[in-house]
Amino acid sequence: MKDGFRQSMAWLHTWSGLLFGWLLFVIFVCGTISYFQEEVTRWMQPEVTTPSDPVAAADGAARWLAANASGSSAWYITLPGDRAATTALFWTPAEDGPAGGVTEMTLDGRGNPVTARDTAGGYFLYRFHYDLHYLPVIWARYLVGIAAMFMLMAILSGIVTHKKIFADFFMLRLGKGQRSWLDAHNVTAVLALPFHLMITYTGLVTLEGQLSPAPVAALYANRSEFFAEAFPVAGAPESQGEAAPLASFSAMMKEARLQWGMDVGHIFVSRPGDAVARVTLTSAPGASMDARGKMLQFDGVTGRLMGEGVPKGAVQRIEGVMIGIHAGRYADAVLRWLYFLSGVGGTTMVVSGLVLWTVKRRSKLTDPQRPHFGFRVVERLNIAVVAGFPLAIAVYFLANRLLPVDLPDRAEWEVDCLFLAWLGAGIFAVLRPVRRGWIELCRCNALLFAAVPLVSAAATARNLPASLMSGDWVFAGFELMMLALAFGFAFAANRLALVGSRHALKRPGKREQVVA
Amino acid sequence: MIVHALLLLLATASFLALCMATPRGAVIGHGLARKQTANLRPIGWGLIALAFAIACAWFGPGRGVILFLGYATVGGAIVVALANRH
Repeated sequence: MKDGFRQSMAWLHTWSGLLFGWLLFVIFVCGTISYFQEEVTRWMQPEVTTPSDPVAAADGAARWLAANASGSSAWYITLPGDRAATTALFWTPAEDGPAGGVTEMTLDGRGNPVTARDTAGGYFLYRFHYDLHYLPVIWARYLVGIAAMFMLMAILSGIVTHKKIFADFFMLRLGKGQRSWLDAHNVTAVLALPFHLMITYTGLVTLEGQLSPAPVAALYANRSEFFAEAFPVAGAPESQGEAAPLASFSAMMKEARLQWGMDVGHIFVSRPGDAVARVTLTSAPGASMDARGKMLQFDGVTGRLMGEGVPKGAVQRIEGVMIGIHAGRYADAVLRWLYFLSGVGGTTMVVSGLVLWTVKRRSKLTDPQRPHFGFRVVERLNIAVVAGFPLAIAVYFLANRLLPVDLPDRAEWEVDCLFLAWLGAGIFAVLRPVRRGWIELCRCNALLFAAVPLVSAAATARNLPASLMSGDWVFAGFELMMLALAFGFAFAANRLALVGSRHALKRPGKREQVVA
Repeated sequence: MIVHALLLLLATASFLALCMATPRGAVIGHGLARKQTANLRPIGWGLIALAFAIACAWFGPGRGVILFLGYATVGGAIVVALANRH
């Protein structure tokens, strides 16, 4: 054990941060993008241009489901709104229907099936930030949960380690090697500290049922008993076998809007087409800080308001607000951008921490030309993840525009392209000399991100100038962000090349010291 | 929208005052007498408190706190960029 409390905390901070640093970087990048996941999905489905009025979409969905999902005992409808343009439908298969039939569909704002390219869109990046990919979800969530615990440890021990949190609050000395990396790490950590603490803690809350199973095990015989009590289904009573048409959703949605002052986001219909049908409306995600929203239940045949559906306890509502603050679905455009910028700060904090680990140790190596194995692993992983993962995301967006529209399993192919590109970047990072590896991958990222708007203009009917002229800020914003990323990576590559060569002139033989 | 602009302005101004009160802040507060910088610290904290109060009063304690922290982060980042621009 190191001597002194602060030294011990510094040790804990260094190693808890490093161990899961690469996974945390990926989580931070994807989590930050997820604040705009609906917008990313809209960009990735350029064919969808229908209006997204929730009432018209709800009635369109009811018409489609009545015609195509007969015999189903439950419909789940996720409506479009200010941000998403499509309606997502899920339904339980009819008891006498064919096994394994389709039970989900995406409709446009008019209630017609979407004929756009098959893509997992921004939703994939959102799911990836806690479910990862190619491994069972349950294990992924344990891994992400443990990474979040290490993150929390790193944040708290980092606060103790940082000697002059107030005196050095505004300190950012650039162009000074190790000192600059430490300053960048401190500034991004301290400025967005409330966000870092909130996002890590509430992230753990979202996985709380899995990470802390003991209370449920102590109180319930099995987990399904707990779920039945915690999340009762607002279902209809037993059917008497009497058929009756479903009332129109528009009147119910008008009533809900009156009561809440906000739009409806989800519709759950229990026993549609039966005389006992029940319709439960849940408020739109932008309407409430509670991630689970507000509910109202209606008689499905007469359309009469019956109450609030299933009442929620205080603990569930508090948990709902914690998840809500994490996911930021309630946030309007301004607050969403603040979330996004704080996420960028968190990503920068993780990157500067990872790079700092190598920069700090490089100066103490006995033979800088032949570092020990552990050092080389960290160094290569830094390049493969920090420069390689953004490359993979650029390829994901490019694949969305370049893969044939009628390719079978297209959505999964887009995801495979992301991982293949990442694998390629990883191999490149291992094979190239460290400094060249950083510079070349950054240049490659700049080219790929700059290519996204160009390829999109060539492959679809939309392009950046037209989007700007027509005020389509979802498309224009996305593509301007790609150009900003391209510029950022080009700047980083030039800076790395410049600093490296300047340093080589001053101190030959030690030129790699300034670059991680 | 005006209240958003006001919050960003207050957050930036408060950190600017606090930054100028530090020895390092001389970059911005060039030529300020020691007596003048002595007042900057309470002014900075006062402006932060004002921004917090406005955010909570306008947006309610839930959203208000979150917006305040968001603007404080961005305001702080602007001041860091200003103070280290050379």
